[in-house]
Amino acid sequence: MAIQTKKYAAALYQAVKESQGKKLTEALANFVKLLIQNRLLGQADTILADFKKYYNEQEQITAVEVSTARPLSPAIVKDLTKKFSSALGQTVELNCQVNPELCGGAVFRIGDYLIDGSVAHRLNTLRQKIYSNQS
Amino acid sequence: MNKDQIIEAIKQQIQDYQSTVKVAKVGTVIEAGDGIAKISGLGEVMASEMLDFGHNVFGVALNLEADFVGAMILGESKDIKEGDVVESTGRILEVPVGEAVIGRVVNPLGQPLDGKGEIKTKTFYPVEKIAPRVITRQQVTTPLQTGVIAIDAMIPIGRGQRELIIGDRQTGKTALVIDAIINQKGQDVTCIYVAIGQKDAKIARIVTELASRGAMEYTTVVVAGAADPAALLYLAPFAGCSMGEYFMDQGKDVLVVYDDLSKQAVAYRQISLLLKRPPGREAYPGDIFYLHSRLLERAARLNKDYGGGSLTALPIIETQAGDISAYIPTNVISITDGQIFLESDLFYQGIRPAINTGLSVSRVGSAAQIKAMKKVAGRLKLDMAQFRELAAFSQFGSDLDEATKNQINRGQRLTEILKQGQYQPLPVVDQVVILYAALNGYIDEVAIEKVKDFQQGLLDFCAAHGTKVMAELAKEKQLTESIEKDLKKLISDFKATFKN
Repeated sequence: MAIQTKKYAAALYQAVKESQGKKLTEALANFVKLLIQNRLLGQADTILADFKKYYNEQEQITAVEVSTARPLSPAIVKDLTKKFSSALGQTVELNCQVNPELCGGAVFRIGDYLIDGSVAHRLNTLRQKIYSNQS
Repeated sequence: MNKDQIIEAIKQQIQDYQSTVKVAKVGTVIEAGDGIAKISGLGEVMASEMLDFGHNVFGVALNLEADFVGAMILGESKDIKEGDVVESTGRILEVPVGEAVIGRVVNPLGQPLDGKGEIKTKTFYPVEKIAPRVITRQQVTTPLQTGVIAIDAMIPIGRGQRELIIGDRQTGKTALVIDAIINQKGQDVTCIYVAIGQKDAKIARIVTELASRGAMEYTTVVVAGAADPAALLYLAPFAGCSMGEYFMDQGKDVLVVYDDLSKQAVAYRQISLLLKRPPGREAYPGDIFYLHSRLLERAARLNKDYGGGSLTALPIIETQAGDISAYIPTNVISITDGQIFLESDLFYQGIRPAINTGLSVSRVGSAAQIKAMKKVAGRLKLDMAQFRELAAFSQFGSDLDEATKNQINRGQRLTEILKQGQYQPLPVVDQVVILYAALNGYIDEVAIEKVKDFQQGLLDFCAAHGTKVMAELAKEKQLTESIEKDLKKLISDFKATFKN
């Protein structure tokens, strides 16, 4: 089933890319009708998630998730986006999340990579170090 | 740990402040439950790599598929939910090894279960290790005395051998191996008892019994109980083997008991089916043979250049209604260097240990016996085989010739000698004396019900009046002419005093 939803997502991407303006609404409506016909409306969420992934892949967009203890100012967001874009050589889509548990610093997640520069992580390391010294 | 050390640790952290940004390869849980998890992402994860689920829960990547990774969870899976971040650790699962694990009761991850505090060791061994290569090995020549006459005399086990113990439920499989462990006292053998899928009450009883006989001083018990997740049951034998391998690498002799591998096979089948691996015969996965063969291949006797250590494996398999031609029993029989069959019929007849001496074999043979035992045991095997053949006849008529009668007589008394109570292992020297007396006709006139009394009496008599002969026999390990002469005299002297 996983392969099937991926195929639908790819097809949707191509249909959307080819059609513009009024045709786009029509294409989307047809896609929904197709899903109903094939009894796949229940899978719509999965297809949507796959579409998002496929879209990013095709358009060379990298999603970067940023978690911080406090909300970031727009200036920092802009700066980060610029830095990531130049580092990765791709368009970067920055998703900001606020997680007070981090205490400070930031955690970035780019695809399968996690860069943890939070205070919470450092505190954890410190705790482990103290425990291991104890034994 | 004092205040200064804590301050020192914090100071160190402050100095290293810049370098502590962690980069990890991660994935996301898409499905979790029944002790397994499906994870998306984790692009560069390796097979059997350890995964960190957070909250101190770890897993092992087993299935690497196009879109996701299938992993088994070691520990509580109820805290793991969809969307959780999973980190790959870049390490293979390891267990603590070394002197610190001796005398302890641990789980397959090496965490203590006996409440005696943390296991303090700096050495770790991977759970999955490639078996010693051909070049490093040597022939099995040193005996591993189990203290059970029937085994030591007829189915000798050598150090570095793999001998399967197979039988139905309630036939005394565990009792046999516990006796073997108890008998290793003072023989320089480190023992590891791996309990897989057993009731905690039974394990507690075994540990108490071992402790009360001083056997815990050289024994480690690895426990994956009936209530533990299937992943731990599957890992337990490998963990136990790794703990043993450490001592083997130190040049020591090790005895590892896997009690029992049928439950491990069932646990592995559960994990495999949940991970949607295709089922084969009896619904076991295709690599079930490899599971047992790679485990049992790790039993070895290393040669002098590699320290000369050994690891003896005693796997146990439980059969259903004596069916030894089921899938798992045939597999393990073909892997091991021999098997000891225990039968419920014999057990109920009162022949305990209920060893079927006809079907049990040891492919290492008499190479793993001391010379004295070799001499007496050769006759024993022959006499028992002839007895079995004639016993069927004797049921029909009373009209038997003298020679046949004698043969049956001898057989009945030998059967009696081979009976042995639980927790009563006999030193090999005592075994030789008893068998010598029996095979040279000294007990042919003793009434069957008196044979055990005769045996005990003889041993007591030897301990009191024959210390010199016994010591010499223990030292020489063979029946020299002078020892044999002294022994004959000793037995005759005792027989004169024995009232039938």
